[in-house]
Amino acid sequence: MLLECSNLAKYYGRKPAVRNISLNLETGHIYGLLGPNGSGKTTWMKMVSGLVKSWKGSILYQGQPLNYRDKAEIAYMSTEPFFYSFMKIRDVGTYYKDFFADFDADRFSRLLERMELDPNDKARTLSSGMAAKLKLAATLARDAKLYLLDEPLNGIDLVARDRIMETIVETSSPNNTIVMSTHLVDEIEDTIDGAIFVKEGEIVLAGSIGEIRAQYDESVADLYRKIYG
Amino acid sequence: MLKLFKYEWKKQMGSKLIIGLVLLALCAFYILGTLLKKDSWEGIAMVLLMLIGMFAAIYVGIESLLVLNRDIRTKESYMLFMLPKSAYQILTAKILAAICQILLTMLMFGAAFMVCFTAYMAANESLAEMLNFLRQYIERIFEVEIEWDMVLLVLISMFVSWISMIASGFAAIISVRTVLSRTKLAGVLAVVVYLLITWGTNWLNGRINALSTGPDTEMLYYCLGIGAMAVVTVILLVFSGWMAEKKLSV
Repeated sequence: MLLECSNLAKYYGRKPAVRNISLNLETGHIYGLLGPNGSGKTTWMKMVSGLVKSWKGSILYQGQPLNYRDKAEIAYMSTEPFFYSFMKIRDVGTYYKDFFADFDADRFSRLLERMELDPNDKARTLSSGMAAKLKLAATLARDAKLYLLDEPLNGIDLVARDRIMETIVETSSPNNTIVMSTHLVDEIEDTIDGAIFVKEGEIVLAGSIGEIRAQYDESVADLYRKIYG
Repeated sequence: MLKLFKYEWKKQMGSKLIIGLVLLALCAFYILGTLLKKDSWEGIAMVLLMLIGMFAAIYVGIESLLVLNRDIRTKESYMLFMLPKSAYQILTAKILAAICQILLTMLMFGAAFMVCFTAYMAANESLAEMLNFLRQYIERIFEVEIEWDMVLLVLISMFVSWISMIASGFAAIISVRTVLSRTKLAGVLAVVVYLLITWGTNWLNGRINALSTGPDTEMLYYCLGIGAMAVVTVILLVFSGWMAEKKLSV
């Protein structure tokens, strides 16, 4: 088991962001973490990435309690742009290369080309769509064991979405696990092989796509509309 | 650690460039005054060098705190905290960068003063006469007698105080951001906590200084004061690291 979360809870003051989440992720799968805004998807991802602290429950990564060294194998991509304002696009690659042993500079260059990004452009002057592509290129240029992609399709136009989904599928391998949080279920339904529905900080349904379709006789998108509609 | 340091260093290079350009302009003004025998130009340049030096030392310290605050408050925090580095390593890199920033600033000002003195000597006096002139100048302004060993202690004390100021700021920002996260009130409260820590540190220093009973013990207690401040600084940094490692969410 790559990741085991047991009874996870995170409160901001009295407000729960994540409640009693127990979840296991296996290697070699692409999971969709589904739910509307504010359902706790981002908080859970940030807990696993070590960005959110002071939570209750336990997170085991490869059987051991999560610690900061595990970030060398966990690639988190936040939903907002986060690069330093003084950086050019090529500096982002240098930064990742400086700190992540699994970063592949050649793959980063190829991804930049595919995303039509100019390495000499300033990261802070990019449009939201271009910034989203840069985040994705930097994250997917790593050979991580666990990718946590928070809303990877946000701000991306329809044509580019297909390209991004292709890149994500290419990155997927039997040696890694990808978790994509999104509310754009139609866009990822054909890509994911597991779905986790989160509502008000709790998991309301989880399983493989095959199991879910067989059990409910509905597409994931229709089930999503039913759960959150 | 070195790579963390490199990026911390980069974050504050803009202000060093500006300080460097200002110093160049002031040196040029001083040298021009020396060449043209305009005493008033030399005086203005020297006074400005001193004033800007004091301002720069304070600003460089505050800038280190502003950078930390930004690194916690904004989304740029992910750049630091997604790295496979402990919070202790991150804070150590930050404090080292802050120390190197002030050393660089001091070096830049030292070089500027040297350039001005060299220009003065080339045009007027010998080194001994120059130092004598400087001592008399300071004695006249501050009405004190200069003891060079005390000058060294004062410089060390200022340096330790400066690092203590940064450590207090780190502790205040991290503890308040841990509790209040990104609320607007957090900035104001961080200043209040910072002032409280500074008051506590100064109170401790005052207690130690009060132990001094005469001129013979003055230097000893001065050293004790520096030691106490160094210990408080280390405690504040360890506390900040622990908070950031265990409690701080970004």
